[in-house]
Amino acid sequence: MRAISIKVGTPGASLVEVPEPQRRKGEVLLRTLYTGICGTDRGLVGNQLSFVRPPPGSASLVIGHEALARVEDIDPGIKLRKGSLVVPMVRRPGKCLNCLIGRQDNCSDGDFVEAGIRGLDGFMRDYFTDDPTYLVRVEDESLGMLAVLTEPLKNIVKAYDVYDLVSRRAITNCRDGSRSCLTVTIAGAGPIGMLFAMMFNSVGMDVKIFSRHDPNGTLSEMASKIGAEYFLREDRSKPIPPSDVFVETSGSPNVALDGIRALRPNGVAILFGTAPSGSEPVSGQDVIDIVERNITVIGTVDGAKEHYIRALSYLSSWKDSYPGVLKSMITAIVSPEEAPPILAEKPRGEIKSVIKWE
Amino acid sequence: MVRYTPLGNGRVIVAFDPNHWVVDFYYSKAARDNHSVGHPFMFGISVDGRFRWLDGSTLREMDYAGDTMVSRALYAPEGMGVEVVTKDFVDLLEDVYARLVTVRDLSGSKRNFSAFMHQNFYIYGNDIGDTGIYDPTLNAVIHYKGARYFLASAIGEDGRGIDQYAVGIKEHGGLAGTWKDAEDGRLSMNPVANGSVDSVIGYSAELEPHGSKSFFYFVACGPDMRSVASLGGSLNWSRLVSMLRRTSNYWDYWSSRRSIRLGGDYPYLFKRSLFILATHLNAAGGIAASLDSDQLKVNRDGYYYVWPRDGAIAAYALSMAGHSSTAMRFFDLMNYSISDEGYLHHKYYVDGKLASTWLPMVIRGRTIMNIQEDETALVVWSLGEYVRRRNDVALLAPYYEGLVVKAADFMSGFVGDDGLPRESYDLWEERYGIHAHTVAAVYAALESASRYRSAASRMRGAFVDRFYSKDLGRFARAIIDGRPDFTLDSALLAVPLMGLLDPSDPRVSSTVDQLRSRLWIRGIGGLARYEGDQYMRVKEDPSIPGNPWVITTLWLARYYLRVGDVPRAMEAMRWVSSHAQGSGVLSEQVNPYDGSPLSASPLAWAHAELLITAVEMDERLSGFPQGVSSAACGDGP
Repeated sequence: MRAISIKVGTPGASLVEVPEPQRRKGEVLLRTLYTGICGTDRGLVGNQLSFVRPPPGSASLVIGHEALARVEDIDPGIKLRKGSLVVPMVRRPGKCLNCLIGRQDNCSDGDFVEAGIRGLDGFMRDYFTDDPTYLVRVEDESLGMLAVLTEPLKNIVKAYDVYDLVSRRAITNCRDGSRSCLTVTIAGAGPIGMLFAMMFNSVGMDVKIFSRHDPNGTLSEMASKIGAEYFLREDRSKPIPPSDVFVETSGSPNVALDGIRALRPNGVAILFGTAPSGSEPVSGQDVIDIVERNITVIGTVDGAKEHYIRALSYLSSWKDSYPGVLKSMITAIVSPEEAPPILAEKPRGEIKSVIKWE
Repeated sequence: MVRYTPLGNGRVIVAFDPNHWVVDFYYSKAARDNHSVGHPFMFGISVDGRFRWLDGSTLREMDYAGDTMVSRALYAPEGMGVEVVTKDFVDLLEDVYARLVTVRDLSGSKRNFSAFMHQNFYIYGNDIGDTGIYDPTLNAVIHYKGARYFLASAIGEDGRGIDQYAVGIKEHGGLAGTWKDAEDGRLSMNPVANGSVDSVIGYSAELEPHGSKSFFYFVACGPDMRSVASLGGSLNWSRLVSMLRRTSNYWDYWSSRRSIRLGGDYPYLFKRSLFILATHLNAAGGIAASLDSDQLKVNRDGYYYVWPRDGAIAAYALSMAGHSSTAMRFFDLMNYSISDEGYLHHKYYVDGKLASTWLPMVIRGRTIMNIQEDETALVVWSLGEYVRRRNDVALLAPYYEGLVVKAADFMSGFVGDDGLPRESYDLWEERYGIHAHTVAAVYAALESASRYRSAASRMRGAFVDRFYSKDLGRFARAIIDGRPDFTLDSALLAVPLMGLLDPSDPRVSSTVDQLRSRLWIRGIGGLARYEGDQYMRVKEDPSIPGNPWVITTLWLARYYLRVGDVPRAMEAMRWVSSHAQGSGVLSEQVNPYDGSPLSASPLAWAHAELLITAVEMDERLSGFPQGVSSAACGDGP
């Protein structure tokens, strides 16, 4: 069967033939239907991420961590059934307390593995086997390919939960108890930025989103459909508007600092994007401003099973409330044979590329 | 047999069998009477003249829909070229059980279908003197007897109602039942029957290629013909859509009152346990032990009663999960039910009336109190915890004299010379004596009612003196006829859990080590109740101390949490999670050989213990830990 793998330590990805997995008792055999391509996949293929590691005893790693799959074979009595659609979870627990209680997204010591990223083969292959504990059933099968967005969206659902938790340290709601008077500014208008925009829009907040480029006006059109205001910020000369929440999805240190500097008192910055390069000095005045204005900076990664489940529920709801938007986020559907060059370099105008396996 | 996805509003409760057919249908102002007692309301479909019942072999999915008390099922009958999705609910406000049915064509051609809904009432739990009658003015079939009326009908989006019906005799005079009439895809249109009665109604529609059609099936309930006709007659498509929406929204909001930071399937089980507990709580404040009527077949008696012990634990669990006002109704009922002497009886009907018992009032010619004193104690303790959690002593006022003082006076007086409680029955309802579990519960109750603390303190001293054996390194589970009974019993876990002794006390740890070593089931896991437990034993086998129970395993988890042994606490939690049935149902016991559920399923107490354990785990492990760098999947600069 086909798989897309990398040799750890060497740039490039290739489509290779690997043996079909043998299902053991208690495991589920899955047919991969779609896998999404994200920035981490390109970081892996570009050999830019230091934390990548192959499974024990192997020099190569099958990549891919955003997937939709179908149950092909399963023991009787397990709650899933043959034909069920599932989204596999990325991170698998280590031994710390958070991992023990199923919150490996909050792993305390880094002793976890992640499918397609570190220590465990990913889902860019025709078939794989998995423990049913790490499979999330797709109840709304009408989502189809859109369910591949569950994995990235679950990160946003968790990030919102964390924001919600820390925002309770002060009264930040409006006089009517809602959050409709709050402004969130989102840096980066890729799929993560757009999903953040939908998330904050769905709780009634005023959403602004920006990026450096908008080829063909696609991003501004999409933002408008979400109910967000899009603006171009080609360089740092253009100020970031004052906000109550700032979300950074690009991984740029200078954008992150500019956004933090634009926060209002009691503001919250959510840092989500990561990139290995770039630097930005933090001045004494920055520290004073953060302290004096009660600014909170949140780093948040991954999500728990509950966040996957809620992500699926949001997708079901959003496909109706934002008609066509989710679909238009998927800008290319390619075959596994066409995937390696797309994994090596992001095509112009791409929001999200998806590999179709069946 | 397991009851799946129970639904209810405190007056109407329905529960489903593995076919997703209603088998328990409770209705009264306190949901006291079961009107189907395990007999199925079947559901079938005929497509282009080909009929089949939609049973478990065609059922692909069955669970609560998302985080709300709406039961969703997906049927895919092989070879029929259609799939059927149902969404069942009991309306939040009106006494209506309804099912939204959507039939979708998968074949790509035009189809005709008829759906058949079977009403199999045993009103007041028996099949004597029932009437079933078709009312053409309402286009509905009505079943009635005494003060229980049920109107069944269906309506499509276009306003069309049922187009077929049949009412007839069942299980009498050689007749199987009216359901047989559906199997040729056409109903006889017989309009009335009395005695032992069932009925079937049919709804037909045409499907466009790959198209779908939806209709509501509903049963309106009322105490007389006028009210049921008025309610049933008012149900149209838009009203039923609105009922589904409000019910769904309400339970979604209700279940989000408290979230837990555990991962995996625990948030799922947490919410389902909340729904299942909510369905066991009626409008009068009664919390039934289980709505599973299957036990009736074996014992001619069941679990649909209020045991004050089970109810107190459930009320405590609900208050921990943020549903204090829901829990308060239970204390109202206990306030009403407590005896003048200050004790609670063995069990009650869900409306507070005294229920059946097997506890005698005389043993070997000696008059005894046929009570389980821990039941009285746990109600007082639970109320104390409820007030403490809310930090509002005003909540206690309505119950202080009538319940707390009365019960505490009784408990502080119902003691022997050494200060230990006098003899009563144990929590397993098997032995008469002085039980460690009872001592722990009474101690906790007296501790919570502050003016009785000296009695509590004396009780603790006497317990250590009389129950602990240095030679064995453990506590006795009971003193029976003056002699200690050192049988290893999971009920000893109440000693640390109710605060009688500190969990880190070496005498406690030594006792728990022995419990775990002897009662943890080799192979399948889980903690047995006690050594030599014969209740529902699968077969004689000296290697099995007894069937593992969900509540005992969760007690062990809670103990390990208290001593900071999280891996062992999670081992016990995982065992419970892995033995939950579809839709999150927890049974009382588990078969020690194949892991299948045994006895009442769901058991409210098991779900209550799951909620308590999950909240305790969340609280004890609270705080956000340090994160580590990882792939965050940003969009790139």
